[in-house]
Amino acid sequence: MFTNSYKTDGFFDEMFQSDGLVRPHYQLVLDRFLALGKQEFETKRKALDSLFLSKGITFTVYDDEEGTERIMPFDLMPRIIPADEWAHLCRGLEQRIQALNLFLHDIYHEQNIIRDKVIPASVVFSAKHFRREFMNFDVPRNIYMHICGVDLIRDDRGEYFVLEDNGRCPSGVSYMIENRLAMKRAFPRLIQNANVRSVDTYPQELLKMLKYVAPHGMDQPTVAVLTPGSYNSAYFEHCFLARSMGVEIVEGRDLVVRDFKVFMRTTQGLQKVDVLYRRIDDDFIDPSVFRKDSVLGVPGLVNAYRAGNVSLANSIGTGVADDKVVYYYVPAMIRYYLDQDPVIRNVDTYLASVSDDYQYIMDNLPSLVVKAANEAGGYGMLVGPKASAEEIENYREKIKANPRNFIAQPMISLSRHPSYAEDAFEGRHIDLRPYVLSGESITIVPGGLTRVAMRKGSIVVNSSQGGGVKDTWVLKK
Amino acid sequence: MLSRVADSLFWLSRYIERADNNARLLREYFQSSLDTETRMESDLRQWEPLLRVSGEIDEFEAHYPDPKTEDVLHYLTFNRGNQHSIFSCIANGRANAHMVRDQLSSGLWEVINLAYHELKGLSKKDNEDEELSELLSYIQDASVQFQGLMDATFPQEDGYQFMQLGRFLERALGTVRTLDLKYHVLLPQGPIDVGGAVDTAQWVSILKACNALEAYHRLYLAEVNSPKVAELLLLKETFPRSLRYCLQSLDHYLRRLTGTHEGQYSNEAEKVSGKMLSDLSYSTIDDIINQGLHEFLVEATVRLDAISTSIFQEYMFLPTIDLNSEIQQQQ
Repeated sequence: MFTNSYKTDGFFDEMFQSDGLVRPHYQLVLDRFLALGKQEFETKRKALDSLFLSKGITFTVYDDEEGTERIMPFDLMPRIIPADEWAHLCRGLEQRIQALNLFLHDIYHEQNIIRDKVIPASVVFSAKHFRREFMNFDVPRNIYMHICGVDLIRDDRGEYFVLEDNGRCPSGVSYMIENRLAMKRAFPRLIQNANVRSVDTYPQELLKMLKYVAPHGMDQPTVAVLTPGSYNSAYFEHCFLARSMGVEIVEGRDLVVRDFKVFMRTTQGLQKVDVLYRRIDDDFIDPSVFRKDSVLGVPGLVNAYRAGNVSLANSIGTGVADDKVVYYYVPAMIRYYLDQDPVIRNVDTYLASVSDDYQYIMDNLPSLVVKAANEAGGYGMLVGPKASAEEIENYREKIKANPRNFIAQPMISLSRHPSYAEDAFEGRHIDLRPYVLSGESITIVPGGLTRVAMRKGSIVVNSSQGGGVKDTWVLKK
Repeated sequence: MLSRVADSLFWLSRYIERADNNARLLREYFQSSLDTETRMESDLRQWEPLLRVSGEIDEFEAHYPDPKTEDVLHYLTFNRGNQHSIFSCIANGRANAHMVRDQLSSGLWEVINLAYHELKGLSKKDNEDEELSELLSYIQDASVQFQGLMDATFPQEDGYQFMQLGRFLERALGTVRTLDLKYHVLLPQGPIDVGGAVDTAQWVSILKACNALEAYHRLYLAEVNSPKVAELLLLKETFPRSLRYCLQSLDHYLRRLTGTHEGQYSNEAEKVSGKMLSDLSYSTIDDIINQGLHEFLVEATVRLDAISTSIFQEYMFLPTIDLNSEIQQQQ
């Protein structure tokens, strides 16, 4: 399966150096996979696929009225991060989340960063998810972004970059844990010998953080996960987290607000809720304040939140920090608030709203990756080098119509990782999403979600676009 | 416990029990239909009583003006349009399980999830007829696994009581329905030789459909005859599928929810189920036969439905929130 024909093709390969030698931290895994017969490998692969299916870790494809459930393609070859590399990433992530939380406090209060001209007022105020309703509102413990999923990539020299910050309702953390369980099942001995750090403390860390931000610093708060419902594609994850934290999972219709307090409707009457880990976006969370047509939300939830009787994670209004134009200014924020240089750099970014950049973007569209400021999931994106002339011209019109809404980045040749394709391992592009929790301190469980662009040559790793996943091993030393 | 969750647990358990009941009934019916001696009738009409007793006959005839045996089988097993087909029961049970996924142990979820995928796979094949027996025993295995895991892994708190209520309510309805089948079989035939070979064979089928043949022989040491079958299935307090046993269980789990003492009630659900239990406890099979077995069974169904409604009203009914008035109130 690992034949001599495996090539790194000039990309940065996570497992092999450019001279074809295996990187030392992958030696053990390579030996194990070399010893694995094809049939044995297939047996393991099939067993894991049916494990995911029976656990219901699936998404639905509607090819008939009932719909068929598919599992996320899972690649058995783990991605490995050595201890020093991880330590470096942690420093960068902590710094970044600290700066983002300071930024959110600032723009919802004094707005010093705008006054000091580090970031233009127009950028902040035109951000789709800036919530002016929350000016001068103090959030519990002054934490805005309790959970952040930061997307990291590596370029052709292996340097890490931040591609985007997901600071609203980042998903995928259940895969981090389930993928590990699956790997433990398939390669128990290997995991033990490889000195891999554990990821299963995540739900406990999450719960600890949620309790820490409870209203009035109360002792034994009632925590619940607020889900849009069982039809949501991340519903498995919502249940998984609720179950592993031992808290209730609620839908909007299970909650009512009375006297500025939030209650669950139970078989014993109303029961008060203190902290909501909400997996519903701001727009849908309270139809009496935001979108009136939302049936997912809870009328009055914002009032209760304002009154300080319920805490929300993440806080309302964090979306301004994961706007892709605001992203451009994060390194400047780090310098401004922390007086430090960013440990992990941003990808070079051009703003279509800045006139020099605009010209550059328009002149170089075929070689750039252009993204809409508020889209996620790989939607609304132009990959210049892979697009047809027509697609490029269509996109050009979109940018002209609303420059504020677009940013452009050079096409980064993402690092690749051996991944199983058809009947041999081939290099596929990957990224990494670690999950950062901000509570009493910043916690990063050693691991994350490694997403793989399973289609040959593709750089889009999102599951909605044919992406798969790998287990991510952070080594102890 | 959230009212919505209580509702889903209740229905999850009802659907599993219903799938199990329907599978057993269908298997028994199918097997006896293969046998000329005991075949209830020679042509397609033989399936009519089964459809009638499940309350499906009108719906079925509307869909299949010119039905074949395969149509009946498909309708009762895989037809998604039929809300009571075995596949629908499993799919609906799973939809409820999915909504309360966080409450279930992984094993419990996996049993129903796998059953769903299994059926979904089978439903796409053609030779349903030959796989029917296999399918039906698969469902029964899944149901037994589900109940075993439920007892082994589900905390015996409110959620457990709601699942037990669903199970015993559905089981009671199943037993009543199965017993009433005999009436519907006889109806088109007119009087037959009571106690004769065909009559006895039909009663044996009904016992088998309730998993009760062995119990019958142990308890009665007698030929199979109708009053005793009815007595076993309706009044035997020790037989786990008898109506009385189901009512005892309903009464027990309802009172566990509120902590009410035996012989007392604290809400409508406890009242109606307690009353029905007491009627059963103080009846003999002769009383019932004098009243008319079919009439008794019809009334029992009505009373069971009333219990179901009152459980819903007491614990699960959420007055619909009027979003507009809520929004106004909050502004």
